Amino acid sequence: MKKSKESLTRIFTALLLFMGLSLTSFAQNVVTGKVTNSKDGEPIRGVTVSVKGTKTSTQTDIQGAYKISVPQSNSVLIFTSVGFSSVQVPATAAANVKMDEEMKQLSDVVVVGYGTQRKREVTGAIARVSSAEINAVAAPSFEASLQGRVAGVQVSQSTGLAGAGSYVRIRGIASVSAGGDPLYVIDGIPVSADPLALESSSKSNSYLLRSGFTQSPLASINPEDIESIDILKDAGAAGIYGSRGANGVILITTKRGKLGKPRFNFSTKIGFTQPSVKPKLLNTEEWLQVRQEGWENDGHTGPAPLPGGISWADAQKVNTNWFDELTHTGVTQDYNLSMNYGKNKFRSFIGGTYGNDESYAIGNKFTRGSIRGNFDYNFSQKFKASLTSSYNKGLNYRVPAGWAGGIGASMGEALPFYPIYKTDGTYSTAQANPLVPIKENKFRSDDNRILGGLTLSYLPIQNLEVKVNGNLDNYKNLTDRYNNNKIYNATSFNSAERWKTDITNYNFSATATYNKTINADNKLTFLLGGEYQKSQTEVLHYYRSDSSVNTSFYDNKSLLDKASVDYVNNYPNISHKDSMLADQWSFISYFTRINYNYKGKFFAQALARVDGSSKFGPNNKYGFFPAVSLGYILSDESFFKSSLPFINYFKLRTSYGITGNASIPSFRYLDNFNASAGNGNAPYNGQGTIGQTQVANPDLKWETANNFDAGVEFGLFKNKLTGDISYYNKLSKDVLMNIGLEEGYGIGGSTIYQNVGKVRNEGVEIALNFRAIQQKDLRLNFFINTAHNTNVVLDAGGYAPDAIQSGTNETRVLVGYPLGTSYSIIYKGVDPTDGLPLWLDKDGKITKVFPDVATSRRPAGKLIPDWTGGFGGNLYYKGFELNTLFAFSTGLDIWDNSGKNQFLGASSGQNWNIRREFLDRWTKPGDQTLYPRFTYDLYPGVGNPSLFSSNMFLYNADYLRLRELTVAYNFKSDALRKIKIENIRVFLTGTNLFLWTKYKGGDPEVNRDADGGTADRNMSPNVTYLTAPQAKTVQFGLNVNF
Amino acid sequence: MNIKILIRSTLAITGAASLLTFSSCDKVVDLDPIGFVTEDSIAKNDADLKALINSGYYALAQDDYYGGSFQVYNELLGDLINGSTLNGDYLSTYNRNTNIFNPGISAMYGQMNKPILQANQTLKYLANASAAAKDEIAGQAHFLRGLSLFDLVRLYAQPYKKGGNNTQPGIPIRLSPERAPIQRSSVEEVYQQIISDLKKADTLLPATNGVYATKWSAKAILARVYFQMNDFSNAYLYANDVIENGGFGFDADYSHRYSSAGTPEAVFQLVYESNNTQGRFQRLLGNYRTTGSALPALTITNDAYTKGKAVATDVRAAWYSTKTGFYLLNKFDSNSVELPVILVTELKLIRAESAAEQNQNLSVGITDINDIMTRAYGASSSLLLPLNANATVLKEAVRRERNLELVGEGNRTQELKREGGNGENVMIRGAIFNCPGLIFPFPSNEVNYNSFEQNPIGGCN
Repeated sequence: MKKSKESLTRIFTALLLFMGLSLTSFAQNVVTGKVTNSKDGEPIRGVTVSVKGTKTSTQTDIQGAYKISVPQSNSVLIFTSVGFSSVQVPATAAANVKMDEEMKQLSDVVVVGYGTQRKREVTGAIARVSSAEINAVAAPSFEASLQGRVAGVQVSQSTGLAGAGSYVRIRGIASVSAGGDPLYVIDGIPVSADPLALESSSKSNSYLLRSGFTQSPLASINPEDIESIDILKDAGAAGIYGSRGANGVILITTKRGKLGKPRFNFSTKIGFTQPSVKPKLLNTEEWLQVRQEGWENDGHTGPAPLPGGISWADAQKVNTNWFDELTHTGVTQDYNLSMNYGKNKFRSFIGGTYGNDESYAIGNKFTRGSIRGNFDYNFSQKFKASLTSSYNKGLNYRVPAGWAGGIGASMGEALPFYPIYKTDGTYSTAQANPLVPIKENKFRSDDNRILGGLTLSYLPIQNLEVKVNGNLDNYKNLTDRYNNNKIYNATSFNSAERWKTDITNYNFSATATYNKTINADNKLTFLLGGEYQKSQTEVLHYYRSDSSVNTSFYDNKSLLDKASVDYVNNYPNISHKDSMLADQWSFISYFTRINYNYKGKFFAQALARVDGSSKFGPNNKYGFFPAVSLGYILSDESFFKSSLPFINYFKLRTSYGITGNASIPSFRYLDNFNASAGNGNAPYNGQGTIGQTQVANPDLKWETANNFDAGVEFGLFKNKLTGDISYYNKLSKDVLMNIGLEEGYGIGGSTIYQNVGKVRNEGVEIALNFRAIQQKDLRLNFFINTAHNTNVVLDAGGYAPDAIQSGTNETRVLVGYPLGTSYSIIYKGVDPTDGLPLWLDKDGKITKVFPDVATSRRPAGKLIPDWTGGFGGNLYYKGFELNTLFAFSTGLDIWDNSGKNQFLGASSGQNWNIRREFLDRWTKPGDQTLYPRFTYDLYPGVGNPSLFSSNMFLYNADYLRLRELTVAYNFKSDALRKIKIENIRVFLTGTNLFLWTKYKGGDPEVNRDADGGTADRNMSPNVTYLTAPQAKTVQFGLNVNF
Repeated sequence: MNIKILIRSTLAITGAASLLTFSSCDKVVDLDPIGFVTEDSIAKNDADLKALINSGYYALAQDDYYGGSFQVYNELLGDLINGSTLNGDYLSTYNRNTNIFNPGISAMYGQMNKPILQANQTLKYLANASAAAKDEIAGQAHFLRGLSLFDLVRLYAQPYKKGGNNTQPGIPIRLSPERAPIQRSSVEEVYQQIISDLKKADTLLPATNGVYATKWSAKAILARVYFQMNDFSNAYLYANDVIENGGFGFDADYSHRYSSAGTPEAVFQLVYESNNTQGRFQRLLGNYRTTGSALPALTITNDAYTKGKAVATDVRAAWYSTKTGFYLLNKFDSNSVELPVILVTELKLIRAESAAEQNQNLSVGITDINDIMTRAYGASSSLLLPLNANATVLKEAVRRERNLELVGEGNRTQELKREGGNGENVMIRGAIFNCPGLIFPFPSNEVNYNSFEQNPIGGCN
C-alpha cells in the first residue's frame, strides 16, 4: 500500500516536472479568439481547442471565447465539437473561427448494444430519438412520447390518466401469449417494464386486478435525464440481444458529464389538462323516453319500470352529468435542475426533478421526484470508471377507471337520474354513485426505483478494450387501497388492501473489443462478451376487513397486524414465511460481433448470441441467434459522384438474422401439483389435499423471428432532403401460444404454453426530412415518418380460434388473418318493418334470432393499423420557433366492448347510460336507421346483454391528432451572457390539442390491456371498455442554461 | 485510500466472479423451481394417495360444484326461479339461451371433472398403496368418478330414455389421467360406467368411513341413478337396502338439513370445515340468502311460493318469505352448513315412487310418504295416505312432497327430465323437457381439443 502510494506521488511529481519543463523550454504565444456557428453567428460553447501535435487543449466559454498558449507561432489549432465539422487554423494571435454543422445523422454516434457505432457505419435498422423530442410533449411516461416520432414504432397510450401505461410495438406484432413489448435497456440493464406487473401478478389471479387501466412502471423515470433513445428494429441491430430481441430493443442512454466549467440547466413546465374528447350521453329526459320506447316496442303498456324502484316523478327531478362531476381541469407542474461539470479526468452529470401532474380526473395525480448522478473518472489513459446512479420516486394517486368504476361508471351504470346527494346532504348510495369511491376511498401507488451501474474499462494493449459492467434495477411498488364500505351499508366493514411488489433485477456483463487494422483499407472490430442476468420478484397481498378498519394500511400501519397475507406467486406450495419469492428467472448469454470496414464505405457485420434461460426445460434450455448485415455507401464511389452529383449520400443496407422472445411466465415447462387443489388454501376435513394445476411441456422453447431487412439511407440536394426507406419481412416461428386445456381434463382454466404458431409481419418504413430553408434567421424544416405493416397468421397449430387464450375481448388467432382480428357475429342492419336487428347465421343466411356464437362468428375487422406515423414541421425565425407534430394511425378498427352494454342500456337487466349516436334507431315502420329499435326484454336469441357482441360495435378507428404544437422564443444575447446566462427558452406547448376521427364513441386511441393480461395486450390493442379518454394539455415552460 | 489497489482488486474480483459464473452456467440457469411438485412425487404411499382422494372431495365441495353452481344452474333451468330479477349468466341460463361464453357453466364443467381426474390419478398409482388401505382407496376413487359422471351426464346430455337404446351423445368418459383426445360416449355407455364405478365402490368401501363415502353412500347414489333411468326395481332395491340396513335414522326435524349441526339422515354429505376462512358452499347459500339488505340473486316465482305455503299446518312453509314484493326461499340462510348430497328422505321418496311405479310393496311406499308427511303436516293431517291407497295416489303424493321437500336443492329439473324419460308428456316453463336449451353447451376447449359434437343451443322458446 505504502509503496504504491509512493509511486503515485512520483508519477504526479514527474508529470508536474514535465509540464513545468514544457512551460519553460518553449517560447510561449497566447492565442485568443471566438468560435461561432457559421449558420447563425451564435457563439458555440464547449468547443475543444487543441494545439496540433501537443496535448495542450482548452474549451470555449459561454461567449464562445477561448485562450490558449501555443509553443510556436506556426502552430496549428484544431477545433472540435460534437455536431460540427472539425476545423484546423494557423495559430495567429486572434483566431476567430466559424464552424459548420455536420449533417447530424451521419456524425451521430448511435448506441448499438454493448457499444456504439457511427451512424454511417451502422448496418442494422436503428432510429434515434433525441432528448428534445422526448421532452416536447406532456406524456405520462417517457415511452408515450415516442408516438409519431419513429417510423415503424407504434405507440398508443392506454388512457389519459396520470401514470398511464402505453402500448409500444416495433414493426408489428407477432407474439400472442408471450409479451409483445420491446426490451427496454437503460444504460446497459434490461429493466422491468411489464405494464401488467402492477395490475395482476401477471399470473392468473384475476382478483388482483387493481383498476381498469395499466400504469407504466417506467413513469417514475425522469424524461429530462434521457440523452437519447435508440430503437433497434431489425436482426442486424437487435440481434445482439438474441433471445430477447424479437420485439425490438429500446436503448435509453442517460445524460453524462462533459468537459468544462459547471453548466446548469433549469427547466419548468406548468400546465393545464382536460379530456381530449367528452363522451356524449343521454340526459334524464332522453333516457326515460328511450326506456319507455323499448318497453312499448316489446308490447308492454303503461309506464316502464325504472331501476331500483325509483318513481318516474323522482327520476324526472334529477339530471346529473356524471362525467362532468368526475372531471376538472388538472394542473401540472414540473421542475428540473441539472448540472454538468468536467475537469481533468472527471466528468459529472447531476440532476434532480420534481413534478406534480394532476390528470383531468378528480383525485388523480402523479408526483415524480428523482435524482441522478452519473460520474466518469479516467484514472489513466488505460483505466476508466463510469458510475451511473439514480433514484426515482413516483407517487400515483389512482382512481378507478374502465370497468372498475369512476369515469368508467360515469359512462355506464351511473344513470343521469341518480342523485349525488340525498336531501340531507349525505351521499346517495342506493344507486350507482361513482363520486363516492373517488372521494371516500384511498388508492395510492408508490413507485421507488433504484437504477445504477458501474462500468470499468481497461485497455491492456493498444486496440483492445476490456469492459466489465454490473447493473442493478430495483423496483419497489407499494399500492395501498382503502374502501369505505360503510357508506353503502352501516353494518358492513371497511376494507384495507395492500400490494407490495419488489422486483430486483441485476445483470453483469464482460466484453472485450479489439480493433484490428489490417491496412489502410481493411479494418476489423471484434466484440466478445458474456452476460448474466437474474430477476426476482416478490409480491405480497395484505387484506383486512373488520370493524377497526377506518383508513388505508399506509395511513395506519397498525392495521397491518391483523391483515391476512396472500402470497402471490408461481409457487403455490410454499408459504410466504418460507420465501418471499413470487417469480424468478435468469439468463446466461455469450455473444460475439465482428465488424468489417472496407475503405470506410463498405461495412459488414456478423453477430451471434447464445442464450440460456431458466424459463425453459432441459430439452431446449439454450438458443442460438445469429445475424449478418451489410452496408455500402454507394455515394462514396467516384462513378456515383460524377454521374449523380445531386445525391450527396446514398447507402444501401441489408440484414438477415434470427431473434427470439422468451417473455413468458417462469417454469411453464414443468407440471405442477398444488397441495391445496382448487381455489384457496383450505384442506378438506382438516386433511391435506393434492391436485394438479399445471401440465408439463418439456419441449417449451423460444419464439423465434427470422428477420430480413433492406434499406436505403440518403441525402439529396446538398443534404436538404434526407431520408431512410426500409423494407422488412419478419417471419415469426414457434410462436408461443397459451392453449386452454380441455376443461374435461379436470383442471379447468389451466393452460399449456406451446410453440405452435407462425406469424408474418411485412412492411415498409419511410422517414424523410426536408430542410426547406436554411438561413441565419430563418429555418424551415418538414419531416414525415410512416410505416405500413401487413400482419398475417400463417399457422395456429391447428387450434380452433377459441382454444388459444385471447384475453377478454372478441379477438382471435385466425389463420389467414392478422393477429387481433375481431371475430364476431355479423350484423346486417335493421328490418325496416319491425325494427329488429338482422344477423348472419352459420350458413350465411339472414336471421332475426341472434345466432350461436359457437358456429356463426366470422372475421369482422382488425384491431391493428396499416399505417402509423407522424409528420410535422419546425419553423425558426429570429429566435421564434414553431414546432408541430401530427400523429396518425389508419386502417384499423376499434372494438367497442362496452358499446353493447351502452346500447342495451335501457333494457331491464342492464340499466346503463346510452351514447347519443345510438339514437339513430328504428322507431316506426319504414325507418331506415343504423341501429335497431330499443328493447326492454332483449332481442330474440340474446340470453343477456353481455352476449350481445357483434360487429354492430366495431368501428373504424382511423385518427389524426395534433400531438404537439409548440411556440417558443429563444433569448440569446451578449447581455445575457454577461450575466452568465447562455440562453433562455420560453415556450407554450399544446399536447393532443386537436383530434380528427370518424369514431363517435370518444377518443379512438385506447388500449384495454389490463384485463386479460398479455393476451389482451397483444390481441386486443384497440379495444375500449368505458376507457377514460386521452388528455389534452397546454403547458407553459421555461428553460435556462447558465 | 489507494485508488490503484481499489481498481485492481475490483477488477480481480469481478473478473474472477465472471469466470465463475460463466463456467458454471448450467447451474446458474437451472433455477430451483421452489415449491413445484411434479407427478413423480405425488403418489408414493397411502398418505399421498389419500391426499389425492381428499382433493377429490375438496373439489366436490367447491363453489363451482356442490358449493352452489350445480344446484343453482339446475334450478335456473326449472320452474322455481323468478327470471325478472336475474342478469348476466344466470339470465341467459334461465332464458335457455346460454352459449359457450357462459363462464359459470364452463367453470362448473371443469370443476365437475376434477374429482374424476383425482380418481384416475389415484387408480393409476394404486399399486403404491398398502394392502390394508388399497380397497378403501380404490373404492373412494370409483365413488368420486361415478358420482361426477352422473352429475355431468344429466347437465350436458339429453335425458336417459326408459326402454330406448340411449345412443344419444353423452359425455366423454375419462378412465385415465393421460391427456388424449376423446369422443362423447353414448348416454347408455355413460350410465353403464356410472353403475360399474358405483358398484365397485359398494364392494370396496367399508360400512363406516368417517366423513368420507361408505358402501352406503355408493348404494344411495346407485338408487338415485337407477331412479333417474326409470329402472324402478333396482332403484327400489338400493334405496331399500340403505334405509333398512344402513343404520341412518329418519330425522324428525325437517330443519336440520342445511344447518351447521347437519342431520343424521345424511347418507353422504360434504363437510363445512369450520376453520375454512373462505366459507364453503357460499354460492348456494349466498345466492338464496334472504338476510341481506338487497334482494338475493335468486328469487322464486309466485307459483312456487303459493305451493310452498298451500297447507297452513306445513312446517316447511317457514322456508318461504317475501321482500319488497318478491318471493324468497330462506331455507339456506345459515352461514355454515354441512352440505347433504343424499338424504334418507330422498331415498324414501325413491323407494315410495318405485313401489308405486311397480305396483309392488305399496305399503312400504305409503309408510315412507306418510313418514315425510307426518313430519311436515303433523300426525293428524288429513293429507296422510290410507294404508290401502293405490299406486296412482301414492305416486301423486310422492311427487308433490318431493317438490316441497327438496325445493331449491337442484332436484326439480332432473326430476322433470326423469318423468320425460319415463315417457310422460313433460313441459318445463312451456318448453319440451328435452329441448336443446335445457342442457348446457360443453366449454369450447373441451370441444376443440377432442373435436366432438357440441350440443346445440337455444330452441326452447
